[in-house]
Amino acid sequence: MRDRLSAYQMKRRAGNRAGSRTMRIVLALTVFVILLPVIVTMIWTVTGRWPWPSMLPQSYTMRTLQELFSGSSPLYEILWGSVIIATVVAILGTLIALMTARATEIYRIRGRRLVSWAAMLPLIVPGTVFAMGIQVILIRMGLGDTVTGVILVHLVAALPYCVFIMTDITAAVGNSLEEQAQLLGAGPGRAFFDVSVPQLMPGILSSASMAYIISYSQYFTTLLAGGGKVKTLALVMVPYIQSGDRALSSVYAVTFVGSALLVFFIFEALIHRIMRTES
Amino acid sequence: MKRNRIVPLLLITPFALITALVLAAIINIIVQSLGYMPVFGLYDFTLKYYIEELSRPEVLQSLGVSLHVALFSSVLAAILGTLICAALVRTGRTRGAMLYAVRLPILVPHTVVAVFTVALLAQTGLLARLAFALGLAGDYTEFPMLLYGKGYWGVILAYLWKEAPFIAYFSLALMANVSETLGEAAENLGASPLKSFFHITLPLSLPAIARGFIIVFIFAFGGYELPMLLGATMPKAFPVYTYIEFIKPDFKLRPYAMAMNGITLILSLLMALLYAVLMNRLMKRIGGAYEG
Amino acid sequence: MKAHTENVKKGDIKLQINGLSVELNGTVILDELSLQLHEYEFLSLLGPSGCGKSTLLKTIGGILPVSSGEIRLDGELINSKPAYRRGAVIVFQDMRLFPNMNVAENVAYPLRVQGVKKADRLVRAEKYLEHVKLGGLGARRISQLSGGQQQRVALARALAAEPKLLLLDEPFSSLDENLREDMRQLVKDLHREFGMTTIMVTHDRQEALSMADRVAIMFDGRIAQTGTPEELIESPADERVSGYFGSAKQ
Repeated sequence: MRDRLSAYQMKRRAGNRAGSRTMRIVLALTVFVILLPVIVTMIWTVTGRWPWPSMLPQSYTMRTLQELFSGSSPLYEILWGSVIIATVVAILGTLIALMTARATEIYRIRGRRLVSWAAMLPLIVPGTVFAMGIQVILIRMGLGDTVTGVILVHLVAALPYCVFIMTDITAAVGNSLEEQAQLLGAGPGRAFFDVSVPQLMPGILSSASMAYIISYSQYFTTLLAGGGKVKTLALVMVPYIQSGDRALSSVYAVTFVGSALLVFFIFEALIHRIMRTES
Repeated sequence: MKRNRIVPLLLITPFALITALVLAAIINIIVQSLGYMPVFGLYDFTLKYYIEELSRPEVLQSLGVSLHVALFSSVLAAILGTLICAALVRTGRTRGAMLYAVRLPILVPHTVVAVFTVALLAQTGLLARLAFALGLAGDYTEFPMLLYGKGYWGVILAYLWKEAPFIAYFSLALMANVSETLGEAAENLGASPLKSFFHITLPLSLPAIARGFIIVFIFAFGGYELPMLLGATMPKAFPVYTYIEFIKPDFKLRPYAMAMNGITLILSLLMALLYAVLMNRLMKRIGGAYEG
Repeated sequence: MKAHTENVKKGDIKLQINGLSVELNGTVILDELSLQLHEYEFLSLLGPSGCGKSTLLKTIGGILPVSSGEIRLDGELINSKPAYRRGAVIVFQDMRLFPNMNVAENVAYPLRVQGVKKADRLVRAEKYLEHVKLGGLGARRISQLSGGQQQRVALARALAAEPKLLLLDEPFSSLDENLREDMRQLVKDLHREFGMTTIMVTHDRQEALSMADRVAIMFDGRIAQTGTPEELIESPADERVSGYFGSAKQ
């Protein structure tokens, strides 16, 4: 009996091992497929000549990097503009989402289902449709081709994610500690900042980093709201892709991903630090 | 205590204003697509723009292309995403370096995905070179035309690269939770890992996967950048075609573009409605214990 | 057992509640409730779960709004006074310690809000910690403390606020039995030392009878009877009260 049981268990264990080996292979393949184009694109940035059908470039050059910093509107200006717009969107999006979450989760206002559907709306309506619909309205509001208009449409794109994140964390944190702080003599604002904000911080940071990345990535909405006058990194790289200049479009792609990742990891590092000191 | 009525109203106001902006855009599309543009002397509400658009073969072809892209992208992304998610849960890699790699495509915008796709899948891309080196293709013209072709397979693969990890990440929290609690319980009761996955973990993770699927479907249907950069000249993807109609200088043609937007809008809302109905039924069946 | 009752200095009326009603989402939780408390008094508020004990504490504390009736603290009508100006501190059973602050910072928080300088308030926090027998643990993180220690930090923090009224909401119910006995003794000692007017909510009959000068028993949002423990047991006001203590004796 004991032998049979252990034989059965051994079979189970072997099966488990085989199963998790398959899963490890799946993961390895996934990571390979994700990283391969990134690496190839990085090679392209310094490629001079890479004729068919060789597997590696035949000459390397710094041409693309020079062009990057000397073009008609230099890269750093565009980069700076994109960063500012994305930062404003990150701050406003998170702030609005935090306010919304407090209204629904702490004050339990009526129509919470309506709010959660309204928050989903920009995910249901494709960005292209929204952009073509809002363009005339922005122009009528005097916001056509302005940075403000671009920020507004980016905000629409980012807000669903901000609201989901902030609603979840606000519901989880609740207001019992804030109540306690008020009972101990802290005014409502003070109680919120002393007690709730530190608890909400991981959510605030992930909401901000999400909104930042979404704004940074917008192409079509920027094109329509900014009318081509508001230039962001996502916008200026498209003509290079269309022209088929692989080296130059690769440089833009790498700059883009590099700068987005930098911001992303700064936020991640902050979240980790907070989570560590909390526990 | 009296302030309790005013404070929440103030808190919800910015959100309400942004929502109003979205609704204004939707209403604008509906009104203009029905032919009401007083600025240009168009006062009649009519369905003629919708009817005319839907009777043009190019429009129908274009709709077909976008549905094809959306369907293949979202179904394949859901399957692959679920597999990746299960692999992350099964191997316990729900945090750390592996997860960052999986999250990378979510951070990469579509314009950059286009650059990546060209480097890999173009007829002179790395894959074609590899095929040549292995003797599978004699010349680059023999390599299948994944990009700029009528099949839009390059666009679909590009979406897949970005959206399969999205669905994996989107479903991860729920699946990890379900697997940790109920999946392990099922295995304790003697179910094999495979059975416990298909009988317990997968059905209970479905709300998150389905939500991700809908988001990807609508995204791939309404997306502009990838089909514009990687798609065929004819037929064009629906949003690309819509935009071309939209930027025609004659404003009297605007209702045609808006009718096309109206069609996308109706399709997206239908998908969302379908999702809501299906989710409602699903939640009732599994008792809503694990809401996504 | 009744040793400390002799020490009670019957002072002026501290808390006066008249015809207090509280509705939450359309349900009446407190129904024209009246209650009076003298200075230095220790009142146990007893009743079955769901009778409105916790609601009463939260309403006195100012985190739930009054529907009708009046609450007076030191003679002053405080119905619409915000919680942070009332000086009625609640110690909840879930303790509600701030995880982003260490033990000393938690205890010093009421002083920080009052604008006491950092060095001063940390010295005073240490004193309060000594009173609850946690001297020297100020630098610990909350998560490093046991449940009983956490409850004592919550008590020390409430004392540091120097409240006019101390409201204890089933403070021992999350602790195991032997810890509970220690905590009861500690609360008694602290009451004697600081002389703070106190209401303690409990559903433990023995606890209520053994700790308090006076016991109030509550059913369905109203006070059914108040009196000394002896009065409640020997001359119950109605069948519910006698029934409640009757089942306790068995």
